[in-house]
Amino acid sequence: MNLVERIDQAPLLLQRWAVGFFPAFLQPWVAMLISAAAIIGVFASLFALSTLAERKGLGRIQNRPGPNRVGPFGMLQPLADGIKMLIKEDIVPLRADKVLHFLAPIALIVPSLLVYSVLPIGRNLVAMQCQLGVLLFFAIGASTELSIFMAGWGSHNKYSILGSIRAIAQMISYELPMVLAAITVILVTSSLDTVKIVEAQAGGFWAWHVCTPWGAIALLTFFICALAESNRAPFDLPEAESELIAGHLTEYSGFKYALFFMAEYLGMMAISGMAITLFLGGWQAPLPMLDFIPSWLWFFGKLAGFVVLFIWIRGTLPRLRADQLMNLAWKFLLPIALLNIGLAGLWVKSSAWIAWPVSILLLVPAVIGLGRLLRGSRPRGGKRIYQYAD
Amino acid sequence: MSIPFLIIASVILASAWAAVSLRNLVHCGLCAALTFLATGTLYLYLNAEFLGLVQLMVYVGAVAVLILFTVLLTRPATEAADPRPTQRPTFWKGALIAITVGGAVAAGLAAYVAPKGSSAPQLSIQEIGRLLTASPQNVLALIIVALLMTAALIGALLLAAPSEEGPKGGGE
Repeated sequence: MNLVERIDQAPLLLQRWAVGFFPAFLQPWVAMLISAAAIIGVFASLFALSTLAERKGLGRIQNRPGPNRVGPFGMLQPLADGIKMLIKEDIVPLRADKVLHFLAPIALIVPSLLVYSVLPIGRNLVAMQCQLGVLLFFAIGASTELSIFMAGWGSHNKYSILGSIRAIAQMISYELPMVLAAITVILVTSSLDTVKIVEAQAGGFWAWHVCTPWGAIALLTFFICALAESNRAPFDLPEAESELIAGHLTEYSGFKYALFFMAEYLGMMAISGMAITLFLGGWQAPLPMLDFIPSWLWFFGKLAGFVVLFIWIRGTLPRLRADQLMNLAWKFLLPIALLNIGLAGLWVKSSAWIAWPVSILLLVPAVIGLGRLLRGSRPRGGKRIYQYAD
Repeated sequence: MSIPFLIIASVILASAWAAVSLRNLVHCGLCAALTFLATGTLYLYLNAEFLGLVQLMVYVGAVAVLILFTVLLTRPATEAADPRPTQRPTFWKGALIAITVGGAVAAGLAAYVAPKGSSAPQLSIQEIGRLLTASPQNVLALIIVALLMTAALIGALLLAAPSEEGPKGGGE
Protein backbone atom coordinates (compact mmCIF):
# COMPACT_ATOMS: atom_id res chain seq x y z
CA MET A 1 0.00 0.00 0.00
CA ASN A 2 1.66 3.23 -1.10
CA LEU A 3 1.28 6.62 0.53
CA VAL A 4 -1.56 7.84 -1.72
CA GLU A 5 -3.67 4.78 -0.96
CA ARG A 6 -2.76 5.06 2.70
CA ILE A 7 -4.09 8.63 2.91
CA ASP A 8 -7.14 7.62 0.88
CA GLN A 9 -7.96 4.87 3.34
CA ALA A 10 -6.80 6.76 6.45
CA PRO A 11 -10.19 6.82 8.21
CA LEU A 12 -10.62 3.09 7.68
CA LEU A 13 -7.07 2.29 8.89
CA LEU A 14 -7.63 4.50 11.93
CA GLN A 15 -10.82 2.63 12.74
CA ARG A 16 -9.10 -0.78 12.39
CA TRP A 17 -6.24 0.40 14.63
CA ALA A 18 -8.67 1.56 17.33
CA VAL A 19 -10.75 -1.63 17.11
CA GLY A 20 -7.58 -3.69 17.59
CA PHE A 21 -7.42 -2.66 21.25
CA PHE A 22 -10.64 -4.50 22.10
CA PRO A 23 -11.26 -8.24 22.66
CA ALA A 24 -12.53 -10.16 19.63
CA PHE A 25 -16.14 -10.55 20.74
CA LEU A 26 -16.49 -6.77 21.20
CA GLN A 27 -14.83 -5.81 17.92
CA PRO A 28 -17.88 -5.70 15.58
CA TRP A 29 -19.76 -3.57 18.12
CA VAL A 30 -16.83 -1.22 18.62
CA ALA A 31 -16.42 -0.87 14.84
CA MET A 32 -20.09 0.07 14.50
CA LEU A 33 -19.84 2.50 17.40
CA ILE A 34 -16.80 4.18 15.86
CA SER A 35 -18.55 4.55 12.49
CA ALA A 36 -21.60 6.08 14.16
CA ALA A 37 -19.48 8.40 16.31
CA ALA A 38 -17.48 9.49 13.26
CA ILE A 39 -20.65 10.30 11.30
CA ILE A 40 -22.13 12.26 14.20
CA GLY A 41 -18.88 14.11 14.87
CA VAL A 42 -18.02 14.96 11.26
CA PHE A 43 -21.48 16.01 10.14
CA ALA A 44 -22.26 17.91 13.34
CA SER A 45 -19.09 19.96 12.85
CA LEU A 46 -19.99 20.46 9.20
CA PHE A 47 -23.35 21.72 10.45
CA ALA A 48 -21.57 24.29 12.61
CA LEU A 49 -19.36 25.32 9.69
CA SER A 50 -22.27 25.63 7.29
CA THR A 51 -24.24 27.86 9.69
CA LEU A 52 -21.22 30.16 9.71
CA ALA A 53 -20.91 29.98 5.92
CA GLU A 54 -24.61 30.71 5.59
CA ARG A 55 -24.57 33.75 7.86
CA LYS A 56 -21.41 35.09 6.23
CA GLY A 57 -22.65 34.38 2.71
CA LEU A 58 -26.10 35.85 3.27
CA GLY A 59 -24.40 38.84 4.84
CA ARG A 60 -22.28 39.36 1.72
CA ILE A 61 -25.34 39.00 -0.54
CA GLN A 62 -27.24 41.56 1.55
CA ASN A 63 -24.25 43.93 1.62
CA ARG A 64 -23.46 43.65 5.33
CA PRO A 65 -20.50 41.99 7.07
CA GLY A 66 -22.35 39.15 8.82
CA PRO A 67 -21.01 37.82 12.14
CA ASN A 68 -17.68 39.54 12.83
CA ARG A 69 -17.35 39.87 16.61
CA VAL A 70 -16.53 36.41 18.00
CA GLY A 71 -13.00 35.30 17.22
CA PRO A 72 -11.02 36.31 14.12
CA PHE A 73 -13.48 37.36 11.33
CA GLY A 74 -16.32 35.98 13.45
CA MET A 75 -15.08 32.43 12.96
CA LEU A 76 -16.07 31.32 16.45
CA GLN A 77 -19.69 32.42 16.01
CA PRO A 78 -21.05 28.80 15.83
CA LEU A 79 -19.42 28.11 19.22
CA ALA A 80 -21.10 31.17 20.74
CA ASP A 81 -24.42 30.14 19.16
CA GLY A 82 -24.08 26.65 20.60
CA ILE A 83 -23.40 27.87 24.12
CA LYS A 84 -26.30 30.31 23.85
CA MET A 85 -28.64 27.51 22.77
CA LEU A 86 -27.52 25.22 25.60
CA ILE A 87 -28.02 27.72 28.41
CA LYS A 88 -31.34 29.10 27.16
CA GLU A 89 -34.43 28.34 29.21
CA ASP A 90 -36.41 25.37 27.91
CA ILE A 91 -40.02 26.55 27.73
CA VAL A 92 -42.89 24.07 27.37
CA PRO A 93 -46.32 25.65 26.80
CA LEU A 94 -48.79 25.08 29.64
CA ARG A 95 -51.37 23.26 27.52
CA ALA A 96 -48.88 21.48 25.28
CA ASP A 97 -48.98 17.75 24.79
CA LYS A 98 -45.90 17.26 26.99
CA VAL A 99 -44.88 13.82 25.71
CA LEU A 100 -45.18 14.67 22.00
CA HIS A 101 -43.55 18.06 22.51
CA PHE A 102 -40.58 16.33 24.13
CA LEU A 103 -40.34 13.41 21.67
CA ALA A 104 -40.60 15.42 18.43
CA PRO A 105 -37.02 16.75 18.24
CA ILE A 106 -35.63 13.31 19.15
CA ALA A 107 -37.80 11.58 16.57
CA LEU A 108 -36.50 14.07 14.01
CA ILE A 109 -32.78 13.93 14.75
CA VAL A 110 -32.51 10.11 14.83
CA PRO A 111 -33.64 9.49 11.22
CA SER A 112 -31.66 12.54 10.07
CA LEU A 113 -28.48 10.91 11.35
CA LEU A 114 -29.48 7.36 10.39
CA VAL A 115 -29.63 8.12 6.65
CA TYR A 116 -25.90 8.86 6.62
CA SER A 117 -25.20 5.18 7.22
CA VAL A 118 -25.65 4.34 3.52
CA LEU A 119 -23.81 7.32 2.00
CA PRO A 120 -20.41 6.27 0.58
CA ILE A 121 -18.13 9.06 1.77
CA GLY A 122 -15.03 7.63 0.11
CA ARG A 123 -13.58 4.47 -1.40
CA ASN A 124 -14.58 1.67 1.03
CA LEU A 125 -15.82 4.33 3.42
CA VAL A 126 -19.46 3.56 4.07
CA ALA A 127 -20.93 2.83 7.49
CA MET A 128 -23.26 0.11 6.22
CA GLN A 129 -23.08 -1.38 2.75
CA CYS A 130 -26.62 -2.51 2.08
CA GLN A 131 -28.17 -4.13 -0.97
CA LEU A 132 -31.08 -1.69 -0.63
CA GLY A 133 -29.20 1.48 0.29
CA VAL A 134 -31.23 3.95 -1.78
CA LEU A 135 -34.51 2.48 -0.57
CA LEU A 136 -33.27 2.65 3.04
CA PHE A 137 -32.38 6.31 2.57
CA PHE A 138 -35.86 7.23 1.37
CA ALA A 139 -37.69 4.93 3.80
CA ILE A 140 -35.97 6.46 6.82
CA GLY A 141 -36.26 9.94 5.38
CA ALA A 142 -40.02 9.47 5.06
CA SER A 143 -40.43 9.10 8.83
CA THR A 144 -39.32 12.69 9.51
CA GLU A 145 -42.79 13.87 8.43
CA LEU A 146 -44.30 12.27 11.50
CA SER A 147 -41.93 14.05 13.86
CA ILE A 148 -42.83 17.39 12.30
CA PHE A 149 -46.47 16.52 12.83
CA MET A 150 -45.68 15.64 16.46
CA ALA A 151 -43.95 18.99 16.93
CA GLY A 152 -46.86 20.92 15.45
CA TRP A 153 -49.57 19.03 17.26
CA GLY A 154 -47.72 18.76 20.56
CA SER A 155 -47.17 22.53 20.80
CA HIS A 156 -50.93 23.21 21.05
CA ASN A 157 -50.60 26.34 19.00
CA LYS A 158 -52.50 27.23 15.84
CA TYR A 159 -49.44 28.59 14.09
CA SER A 160 -47.55 25.40 14.90
CA ILE A 161 -50.21 23.03 13.60
CA LEU A 162 -50.71 25.10 10.44
CA GLY A 163 -46.99 25.22 9.84
CA SER A 164 -46.54 21.51 10.39
CA ILE A 165 -49.45 20.61 8.08
CA ARG A 166 -47.94 22.84 5.43
CA ALA A 167 -44.58 21.19 5.94
CA ILE A 168 -46.01 17.67 5.64
CA ALA A 169 -48.08 18.53 2.56
CA GLN A 170 -44.97 19.97 0.96
CA MET A 171 -42.74 17.04 1.88
CA ILE A 172 -45.23 14.46 0.61
CA SER A 173 -45.73 16.35 -2.65
CA TYR A 174 -42.02 16.69 -3.36
CA GLU A 175 -41.07 13.22 -2.19
CA LEU A 176 -42.80 11.72 -5.20
CA PRO A 177 -40.86 13.51 -7.99
CA MET A 178 -37.68 13.08 -5.95
CA VAL A 179 -38.03 9.31 -5.73
CA LEU A 180 -39.04 9.18 -9.40
CA ALA A 181 -35.86 11.08 -10.27
CA ALA A 182 -33.79 8.62 -8.24
CA ILE A 183 -35.52 5.69 -9.95
CA THR A 184 -33.87 6.59 -13.28
CA VAL A 185 -30.46 5.83 -11.75
CA ILE A 186 -31.74 2.58 -10.25
CA LEU A 187 -33.15 1.63 -13.65
CA VAL A 188 -29.86 2.24 -15.47
CA THR A 189 -27.45 0.74 -12.91
CA SER A 190 -30.01 -1.97 -11.97
CA SER A 191 -28.87 -1.69 -8.37
CA LEU A 192 -30.15 -0.07 -5.18
CA ASP A 193 -26.74 -0.32 -3.56
CA THR A 194 -25.19 3.14 -3.16
CA VAL A 195 -21.65 1.73 -3.35
CA LYS A 196 -22.37 -0.02 -6.66
CA ILE A 197 -24.05 3.11 -8.05
CA VAL A 198 -20.88 5.10 -7.35
CA GLU A 199 -18.71 2.37 -8.86
CA ALA A 200 -20.85 2.40 -12.01
CA GLN A 201 -19.80 6.01 -12.57
CA ALA A 202 -16.04 5.33 -12.55
CA GLY A 203 -13.82 6.83 -15.27
CA GLY A 204 -13.99 10.59 -15.01
CA PHE A 205 -16.54 13.32 -15.51
CA TRP A 206 -18.05 11.90 -18.73
CA ALA A 207 -19.04 8.68 -16.97
CA TRP A 208 -21.09 10.47 -14.33
CA HIS A 209 -24.84 10.13 -14.64
CA VAL A 210 -25.28 13.89 -14.88
CA CYS A 211 -23.70 13.72 -18.36
CA THR A 212 -26.63 11.81 -19.83
CA PRO A 213 -29.88 13.46 -20.94
CA TRP A 214 -31.99 11.67 -18.32
CA GLY A 215 -29.34 12.25 -15.64
CA ALA A 216 -29.20 16.01 -16.15
CA ILE A 217 -32.98 16.39 -15.96
CA ALA A 218 -33.19 13.96 -13.01
CA LEU A 219 -30.50 15.88 -11.13
CA LEU A 220 -32.38 19.15 -11.66
CA THR A 221 -35.65 17.57 -10.49
CA PHE A 222 -33.89 15.96 -7.56
CA PHE A 223 -32.24 19.22 -6.56
CA ILE A 224 -35.47 21.23 -6.65
CA CYS A 225 -37.16 18.53 -4.57
CA ALA A 226 -34.18 18.48 -2.20
CA LEU A 227 -34.67 22.20 -1.58
CA ALA A 228 -38.33 21.54 -0.77
CA GLU A 229 -37.70 18.41 1.31
CA SER A 230 -35.25 20.18 3.57
CA ASN A 231 -37.64 23.17 3.92
CA ARG A 232 -35.06 25.57 2.54
CA ALA A 233 -35.69 28.78 0.66
CA PRO A 234 -37.48 29.31 -1.72
CA PHE A 235 -39.63 26.52 -0.28
CA ASP A 236 -39.48 27.62 3.36
CA LEU A 237 -43.21 28.34 3.63
CA PRO A 238 -43.67 26.05 6.64
CA GLU A 239 -41.59 28.33 8.79
CA ALA A 240 -42.62 31.57 7.08
CA GLU A 241 -41.58 33.90 9.86
CA SER A 242 -43.78 36.82 8.81
CA GLU A 243 -47.09 34.90 8.74
CA LEU A 244 -46.61 31.71 10.76
CA ILE A 245 -43.86 32.95 13.09
CA ALA A 246 -41.71 29.88 12.26
CA GLY A 247 -44.48 27.26 12.08
CA HIS A 248 -43.80 24.11 14.04
CA LEU A 249 -40.72 25.74 15.62
CA THR A 250 -42.78 28.49 17.30
CA GLU A 251 -43.02 26.85 20.73
CA TYR A 252 -39.51 25.43 20.85
CA SER A 253 -36.57 27.07 22.54
CA GLY A 254 -33.12 26.25 23.79
CA PHE A 255 -31.64 22.89 22.96
CA LYS A 256 -34.81 21.46 21.43
CA TYR A 257 -34.81 24.31 18.92
CA ALA A 258 -31.14 23.65 18.27
CA LEU A 259 -31.97 20.02 17.46
CA PHE A 260 -34.58 21.12 14.90
CA PHE A 261 -32.09 23.54 13.41
CA MET A 262 -29.44 20.82 13.26
CA ALA A 263 -31.88 18.37 11.69
CA GLU A 264 -32.60 20.88 8.92
CA TYR A 265 -28.92 21.21 8.06
CA LEU A 266 -28.28 17.48 8.45
CA GLY A 267 -31.19 16.76 6.13
CA MET A 268 -29.87 19.26 3.61
CA MET A 269 -26.41 17.69 3.64
CA ALA A 270 -27.74 14.12 3.54
CA ILE A 271 -29.90 14.84 0.52
CA SER A 272 -27.01 16.64 -1.20
CA GLY A 273 -24.86 13.60 -0.45
CA MET A 274 -27.50 11.41 -2.06
CA ALA A 275 -27.57 13.67 -5.13
CA ILE A 276 -23.78 13.42 -5.34
CA THR A 277 -23.92 9.63 -5.00
CA LEU A 278 -26.64 9.20 -7.60
CA PHE A 279 -25.65 11.72 -10.25
CA LEU A 280 -22.26 13.33 -9.59
CA GLY A 281 -20.05 10.30 -9.26
CA GLY A 282 -19.95 10.14 -5.46
CA TRP A 283 -16.35 10.12 -4.31
CA GLN A 284 -14.92 9.75 -7.85
CA ALA A 285 -12.53 12.37 -9.20
CA PRO A 286 -13.71 14.26 -12.31
CA LEU A 287 -10.50 13.37 -14.18
CA PRO A 288 -8.60 10.09 -13.77
CA MET A 289 -5.32 12.00 -13.39
CA LEU A 290 -6.68 13.65 -10.22
CA ASP A 291 -7.06 10.32 -8.46
CA PHE A 292 -4.18 11.07 -6.10
CA ILE A 293 -6.45 13.42 -4.14
CA PRO A 294 -8.17 11.32 -1.43
CA SER A 295 -11.65 10.12 -2.39
CA TRP A 296 -13.30 11.49 0.78
CA LEU A 297 -11.92 14.94 -0.07
CA TRP A 298 -13.76 14.81 -3.41
CA PHE A 299 -16.99 13.88 -1.65
CA PHE A 300 -16.72 16.68 0.89
CA GLY A 301 -15.69 19.13 -1.83
CA LYS A 302 -18.81 18.32 -3.83
CA LEU A 303 -20.86 18.53 -0.64
CA ALA A 304 -19.44 21.99 0.10
CA GLY A 305 -20.39 23.02 -3.43
CA PHE A 306 -23.97 21.92 -2.80
CA VAL A 307 -24.14 23.75 0.55
CA VAL A 308 -22.89 26.95 -1.10
CA LEU A 309 -25.54 26.51 -3.82
CA PHE A 310 -28.24 26.13 -1.14
CA ILE A 311 -27.06 29.35 0.56
CA TRP A 312 -26.80 31.22 -2.74
CA ILE A 313 -30.36 30.24 -3.68
CA ARG A 314 -31.61 31.28 -0.25
CA GLY A 315 -30.07 34.69 -0.69
CA THR A 316 -31.39 35.12 -4.24
CA LEU A 317 -34.89 33.74 -4.75
CA PRO A 318 -38.10 35.03 -3.15
CA ARG A 319 -40.37 32.60 -1.32
CA LEU A 320 -43.06 30.74 -3.30
CA ARG A 321 -46.79 30.99 -2.60
CA ALA A 322 -48.57 27.84 -1.38
CA ASP A 323 -50.46 27.32 -4.67
CA GLN A 324 -47.30 27.86 -6.72
CA LEU A 325 -45.57 25.29 -4.54
CA MET A 326 -48.20 22.62 -5.22
CA ASN A 327 -48.45 23.49 -8.93
CA LEU A 328 -44.71 23.13 -9.36
CA ALA A 329 -44.66 19.70 -7.74
CA TRP A 330 -47.75 18.11 -9.25
CA LYS A 331 -48.12 19.81 -12.61
CA PHE A 332 -44.51 20.35 -13.61
CA LEU A 333 -41.98 18.15 -11.80
CA LEU A 334 -44.12 15.01 -11.70
CA PRO A 335 -44.86 14.78 -15.47
CA ILE A 336 -41.25 15.67 -16.31
CA ALA A 337 -39.96 13.01 -13.91
CA LEU A 338 -42.31 10.41 -15.42
CA LEU A 339 -41.21 11.27 -18.97
CA ASN A 340 -37.63 11.08 -17.77
CA ILE A 341 -38.09 7.52 -16.52
CA GLY A 342 -39.18 6.54 -20.03
CA LEU A 343 -36.07 8.19 -21.45
CA ALA A 344 -33.86 6.34 -18.98
CA GLY A 345 -35.46 3.12 -20.22
CA LEU A 346 -34.65 4.16 -23.80
CA TRP A 347 -31.05 4.82 -22.71
CA VAL A 348 -30.80 1.26 -21.37
CA LYS A 349 -32.42 -0.38 -24.39
CA SER A 350 -30.79 1.59 -27.20
CA SER A 351 -27.45 3.21 -27.96
CA ALA A 352 -26.42 6.75 -27.01
CA TRP A 353 -26.64 7.80 -30.70
CA ILE A 354 -30.40 7.22 -30.65
CA ALA A 355 -31.08 8.17 -27.02
CA TRP A 356 -29.47 11.65 -27.11
CA PRO A 357 -31.45 13.14 -30.03
CA VAL A 358 -34.72 11.48 -28.99
CA SER A 359 -34.31 12.75 -25.42
CA ILE A 360 -33.57 16.30 -26.54
CA LEU A 361 -36.46 16.24 -29.01
CA LEU A 362 -38.86 15.09 -26.28
CA LEU A 363 -37.54 16.93 -23.22
CA VAL A 364 -37.03 20.42 -24.57
CA PRO A 365 -40.59 20.85 -25.94
CA ALA A 366 -42.01 19.15 -22.82
CA VAL A 367 -40.21 21.43 -20.37
CA ILE A 368 -40.87 24.63 -22.36
CA GLY A 369 -44.47 23.72 -23.22
CA LEU A 370 -45.38 22.70 -19.69
CA GLY A 371 -43.76 25.83 -18.31
CA ARG A 372 -45.71 28.06 -20.73
CA LEU A 373 -48.95 26.21 -19.96
CA LEU A 374 -48.54 26.66 -16.21
CA ARG A 375 -47.64 30.31 -16.59
CA GLY A 376 -50.83 30.79 -18.60
CA SER A 377 -52.96 29.35 -15.82
CA ARG A 378 -51.78 32.01 -13.41
CA PRO A 379 -54.39 34.67 -12.56
CA ARG A 380 -53.73 37.62 -14.87
CA GLY A 381 -53.80 41.02 -13.29
CA GLY A 382 -51.46 42.95 -15.45
CA LYS A 383 -48.09 44.16 -14.29
CA ARG A 384 -47.98 44.80 -10.58
CA ILE A 385 -46.95 48.30 -9.67
CA TYR A 386 -45.82 48.93 -6.14
CA GLN A 387 -46.91 52.20 -4.59
CA TYR A 388 -44.54 53.51 -2.02
CA ALA A 389 -46.14 54.86 1.14
CA ASP A 390 -46.04 58.62 1.42
CA MET B 1 -37.33 -16.73 21.44
CA SER B 2 -34.55 -14.21 21.30
CA ILE B 3 -34.42 -10.93 23.21
CA PRO B 4 -34.71 -8.62 20.14
CA PHE B 5 -37.81 -10.51 19.03
CA LEU B 6 -39.41 -10.17 22.47
CA ILE B 7 -38.72 -6.43 22.54
CA ILE B 8 -40.10 -5.87 19.03
CA ALA B 9 -43.15 -8.07 19.64
CA SER B 10 -44.01 -6.35 22.91
CA VAL B 11 -43.71 -2.92 21.26
CA ILE B 12 -46.04 -4.08 18.46
CA LEU B 13 -48.62 -5.43 20.89
CA ALA B 14 -48.47 -2.52 23.31
CA SER B 15 -48.70 0.15 20.62
CA ALA B 16 -51.48 -1.70 18.80
CA TRP B 17 -53.44 -1.90 22.05
CA ALA B 18 -52.82 1.79 22.71
CA ALA B 19 -53.91 2.65 19.16
CA VAL B 20 -57.40 1.28 19.75
CA SER B 21 -57.85 2.20 23.41
CA LEU B 22 -56.54 5.77 23.78
CA ARG B 23 -59.14 8.56 23.91
CA ASN B 24 -57.34 11.17 21.80
CA LEU B 25 -57.59 10.21 18.12
CA VAL B 26 -54.28 11.86 17.24
CA HIS B 27 -52.53 9.77 19.89
CA CYS B 28 -54.22 6.69 18.42
CA GLY B 29 -52.89 7.61 14.98
CA LEU B 30 -49.36 8.08 16.29
CA CYS B 31 -49.52 4.75 18.15
CA ALA B 32 -50.66 3.11 14.92
CA ALA B 33 -47.58 4.65 13.27
CA LEU B 34 -45.44 3.13 16.03
CA THR B 35 -47.06 -0.25 15.32
CA PHE B 36 -46.17 0.09 11.62
CA LEU B 37 -42.63 1.06 12.56
CA ALA B 38 -42.20 -1.90 14.89
CA THR B 39 -43.66 -4.27 12.28
CA GLY B 40 -41.15 -2.95 9.76
CA THR B 41 -38.39 -3.55 12.30
CA LEU B 42 -39.63 -7.11 12.77
CA TYR B 43 -39.34 -7.70 9.01
CA LEU B 44 -35.82 -6.27 9.06
CA TYR B 45 -34.97 -8.53 12.00
CA LEU B 46 -36.23 -11.51 9.99
CA ASN B 47 -33.86 -10.55 7.12
CA ALA B 48 -36.71 -9.51 4.84
CA GLU B 49 -35.05 -6.17 4.08
CA PHE B 50 -37.14 -5.23 1.07
CA LEU B 51 -40.43 -5.90 2.83
CA GLY B 52 -39.26 -4.09 5.96
CA LEU B 53 -38.11 -0.96 4.15
CA VAL B 54 -41.21 -0.83 1.96
CA GLN B 55 -43.28 -1.20 5.13
CA LEU B 56 -41.45 1.81 6.61
CA MET B 57 -41.74 3.88 3.45
CA VAL B 58 -45.40 3.15 2.68
CA TYR B 59 -46.92 2.76 6.13
CA VAL B 60 -44.87 5.11 8.30
CA GLY B 61 -44.19 7.64 5.55
CA ALA B 62 -47.55 7.70 3.79
CA VAL B 63 -50.35 5.72 5.46
CA ALA B 64 -49.70 7.06 8.98
CA VAL B 65 -49.67 10.62 7.66
CA LEU B 66 -52.86 9.88 5.71
CA ILE B 67 -54.52 8.60 8.92
CA LEU B 68 -53.46 11.69 10.86
CA PHE B 69 -54.61 14.05 8.11
CA THR B 70 -57.94 12.25 7.92
CA VAL B 71 -58.38 12.61 11.67
CA LEU B 72 -57.55 16.31 11.55
CA LEU B 73 -59.66 17.08 8.49
CA THR B 74 -62.86 15.20 9.32
CA ARG B 75 -63.65 15.84 12.99
CA PRO B 76 -62.38 17.75 15.98
CA ALA B 77 -59.77 15.48 17.49
CA THR B 78 -60.32 16.66 21.04
CA GLU B 79 -63.98 15.64 20.99
CA ALA B 80 -64.72 13.24 23.84
CA ALA B 81 -65.44 9.64 22.88
CA ASP B 82 -69.03 8.40 23.08
CA PRO B 83 -69.48 6.82 26.54
CA ARG B 84 -71.79 4.07 25.20
CA PRO B 85 -70.08 2.65 22.11
CA THR B 86 -72.41 -0.36 21.80
CA GLN B 87 -75.41 1.91 21.18
CA ARG B 88 -73.85 3.61 18.19
CA PRO B 89 -75.15 2.37 14.83
CA THR B 90 -71.62 1.89 13.57
CA PHE B 91 -70.73 -0.52 16.39
CA TRP B 92 -72.51 -3.53 14.88
CA LYS B 93 -71.25 -2.77 11.38
CA GLY B 94 -67.73 -2.58 12.78
CA ALA B 95 -68.20 -5.82 14.68
CA LEU B 96 -69.44 -7.54 11.50
CA ILE B 97 -66.43 -6.33 9.52
CA ALA B 98 -64.07 -7.39 12.32
CA ILE B 99 -65.57 -10.88 12.47
CA THR B 100 -65.45 -11.28 8.66
CA VAL B 101 -61.85 -10.12 8.35
CA GLY B 102 -60.77 -12.10 11.42
CA GLY B 103 -62.49 -15.20 10.06
CA ALA B 104 -60.80 -14.83 6.67
CA VAL B 105 -57.39 -14.43 8.29
CA ALA B 106 -58.01 -17.39 10.61
CA ALA B 107 -59.14 -19.55 7.66
CA GLY B 108 -56.03 -18.55 5.74
CA LEU B 109 -53.78 -19.36 8.70
CA ALA B 110 -55.51 -22.72 9.24
CA ALA B 111 -54.98 -23.66 5.59
CA TYR B 112 -51.29 -22.65 5.64
CA VAL B 113 -48.77 -25.46 5.66
CA ALA B 114 -45.27 -24.47 6.76
CA PRO B 115 -42.63 -25.32 4.15
CA LYS B 116 -40.18 -28.11 4.89
CA GLY B 117 -36.63 -27.22 5.84
CA SER B 118 -35.46 -24.50 8.19
CA SER B 119 -33.59 -22.02 5.98
CA ALA B 120 -35.49 -19.20 4.27
CA PRO B 121 -34.69 -18.66 0.58
CA GLN B 122 -32.26 -15.83 -0.14
CA LEU B 123 -33.99 -13.49 -2.57
CA SER B 124 -32.14 -10.66 -4.24
CA ILE B 125 -33.93 -7.43 -5.03
CA GLN B 126 -33.52 -8.05 -8.79
CA GLU B 127 -35.46 -11.30 -8.51
CA ILE B 128 -38.26 -9.61 -6.55
CA GLY B 129 -38.47 -6.94 -9.23
CA ARG B 130 -38.67 -9.52 -12.00
CA LEU B 131 -41.36 -11.49 -10.13
CA LEU B 132 -43.41 -8.35 -9.59
CA THR B 133 -43.34 -7.06 -13.15
CA ALA B 134 -42.93 -10.11 -15.38
CA SER B 135 -45.82 -12.37 -14.42
CA PRO B 136 -49.29 -11.19 -15.55
CA GLN B 137 -51.19 -11.93 -12.32
CA ASN B 138 -48.73 -9.94 -10.23
CA VAL B 139 -49.01 -6.97 -12.59
CA LEU B 140 -52.80 -7.19 -12.35
CA ALA B 141 -52.59 -7.23 -8.55
CA LEU B 142 -50.34 -4.16 -8.61
CA ILE B 143 -52.79 -2.26 -10.80
CA ILE B 144 -55.76 -3.25 -8.62
CA VAL B 145 -53.96 -2.07 -5.49
CA ALA B 146 -53.13 1.22 -7.20
CA LEU B 147 -56.81 1.72 -8.11
CA LEU B 148 -57.83 0.92 -4.54
CA MET B 149 -55.45 3.53 -3.16
CA THR B 150 -56.79 6.14 -5.58
CA ALA B 151 -60.36 5.32 -4.52
CA ALA B 152 -59.39 5.71 -0.86
CA LEU B 153 -57.77 9.07 -1.59
CA ILE B 154 -60.86 10.34 -3.41
CA GLY B 155 -63.00 9.14 -0.50
CA ALA B 156 -60.88 11.11 1.94
CA LEU B 157 -61.18 14.19 -0.28
CA LEU B 158 -64.98 13.83 -0.41
CA LEU B 159 -65.14 13.57 3.39
CA ALA B 160 -63.08 16.70 3.83
CA ALA B 161 -64.54 18.81 1.02
CA PRO B 162 -66.92 21.62 2.04
CA SER B 163 -70.59 20.74 1.47
CA GLU B 164 -72.38 22.32 -1.50
CA GLU B 165 -75.46 23.67 0.37
CA GLY B 166 -74.17 25.70 3.26
CA PRO B 167 -71.89 28.64 2.63
CA LYS B 168 -70.04 27.78 5.83
CA GLY B 169 -68.58 24.51 4.59
CA GLY B 170 -66.64 22.29 6.94
CA GLY B 171 -66.46 18.51 7.14
CA GLU B 172 -69.37 16.11 7.64
